[in-house]
Amino acid sequence: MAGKCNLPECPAPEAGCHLGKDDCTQCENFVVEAVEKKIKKEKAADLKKSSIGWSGQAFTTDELALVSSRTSPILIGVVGKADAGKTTFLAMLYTLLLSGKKLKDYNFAGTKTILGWDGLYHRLKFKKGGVAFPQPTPVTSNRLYHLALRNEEQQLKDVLFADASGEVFSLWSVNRNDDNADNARWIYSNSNAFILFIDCEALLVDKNAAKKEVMLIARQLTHDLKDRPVIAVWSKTDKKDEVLPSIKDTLKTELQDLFSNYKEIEISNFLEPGPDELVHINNLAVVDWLLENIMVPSAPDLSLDEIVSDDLFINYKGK
Amino acid sequence: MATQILLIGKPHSGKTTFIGQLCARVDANSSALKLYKAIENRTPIIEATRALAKGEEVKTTPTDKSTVIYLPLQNGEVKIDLDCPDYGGEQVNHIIENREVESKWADSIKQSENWILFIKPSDLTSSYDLSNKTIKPEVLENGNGNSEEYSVSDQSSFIELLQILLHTKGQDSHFKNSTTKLTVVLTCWDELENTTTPKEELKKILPLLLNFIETNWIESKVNILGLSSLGFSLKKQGNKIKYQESGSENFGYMLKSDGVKDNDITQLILEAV
Repeated sequence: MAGKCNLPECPAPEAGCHLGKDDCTQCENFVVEAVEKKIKKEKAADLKKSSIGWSGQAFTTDELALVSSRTSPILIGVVGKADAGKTTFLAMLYTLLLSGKKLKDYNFAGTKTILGWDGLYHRLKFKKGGVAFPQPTPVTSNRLYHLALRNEEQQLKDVLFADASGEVFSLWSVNRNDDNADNARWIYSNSNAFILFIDCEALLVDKNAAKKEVMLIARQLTHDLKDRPVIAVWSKTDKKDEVLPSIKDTLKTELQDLFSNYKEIEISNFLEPGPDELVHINNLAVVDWLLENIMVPSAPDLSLDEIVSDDLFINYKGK
Repeated sequence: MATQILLIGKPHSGKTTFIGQLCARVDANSSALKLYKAIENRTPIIEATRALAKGEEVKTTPTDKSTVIYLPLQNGEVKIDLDCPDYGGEQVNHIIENREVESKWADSIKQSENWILFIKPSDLTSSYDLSNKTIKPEVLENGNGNSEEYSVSDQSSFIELLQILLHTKGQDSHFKNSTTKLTVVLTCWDELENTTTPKEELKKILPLLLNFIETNWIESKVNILGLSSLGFSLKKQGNKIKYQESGSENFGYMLKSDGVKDNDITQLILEAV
């Protein structure tokens, strides 16, 4: 027992209390102090920690400064109705990166939201014959998943994928000033490019009604789009063959007519037997195409009309 | 001033066995490294040293407390201090989960320009997911949103650990790291099958981690090595006797980045500086 008896004649704690107490600490003359002091001191040292500064979870819009303080991040809006496969697409994207697949022009330099990504990956793992799949994104959420990328010139690019609930896009597609569509408005006004989800399963089940939902969102995307790239992603394409050709074809044409800086692609979450394209190649190709088209500097308009004038000063073109 | 090496590894990644064998070699004066002064406190590894001398496998270090080991090594005129501020490895998990770096750790990270990261490939969790298993959607039983208890995957946690180390070091993410050398050591190499070079093995088991490292460090500051501190399993009686009769310091090997075997595991320290 650490501590000391105030009475000089007492041998405690090395031997028993000379007053006959079984436990010397119960004696009024015994002072237990050293141990407590020591523990407290260690604790104080332990508490001197430095906080890392990011949680690892998906960002909220308030946390953007974690990357915007170092680069101007590229924001990709993931747009589509509920259950169209938006979050599952993000889950597959990280799962593919984890498995060693790469983006075409960029290497993986890290992510400030690795626990968020990893949580999504966890939901694509096989567990007891099933796959959990990501849960629907809550209506109030606007989750931003981050990737730090480095190109061949070794420049750092921060990319954020904005993942909001499908319901808010449906509200926004009907009324872009809807009180409950804040997240959709934020994504629309801040994104550098968009992924528009077309749910093949919904087209199969709800036919033209589902097509109209897609077109509502697509039309709302055009209102102040300028030249921002849009890639239409046909998700759950294992169902695409069963969708009525008239619906597929007209939807395809109508979308092409709406957008100029545009491409469409098919993706799936289920590997095809043999060489696979829909999962391994196309999910990453979505991001490749967007980054390629976001990074293109707008063509400078340098051609000037020739000025014809009698004024010598204006006609002067140097020696 | 001595060169500082920071040794990092999760619990049970092979740090104790390596340091036990390293000390056995240094004590036997049979390697490239020597001690430039006596080791102040051998308590964390004394059990390991005794077990190895008997040809027994080293018991894993308790992870519930932060134990420090410090080895003052020397190669010719060069002094190298091997610093392991968290011998049990629990702090590594703690940093990722609690998002804080203890000050002692932070000091070691800042002071050292040579980091060694131990990874034990045979302990990594492998799992199947939709990207690596062919299954028809109609056959798949949908988990209906239910997911088993989540723990962060090995690969993500190693990446996050290195991100946190770089952040603590004050690395400017716009540039590749050109000052702090990172040596990744794949431990228990003798348990692996069909191996080529350590880098190829890392690419096979943790490809995104390798991509992350190569994207954030200049080539000359990354070294990927293999290590078998024991040389073979001590579960077999014959192997046990070899240890008892010849001394543990005569066993174990490492693989250099080009895959060439070296029987002096203390070379690992020289590779890391």
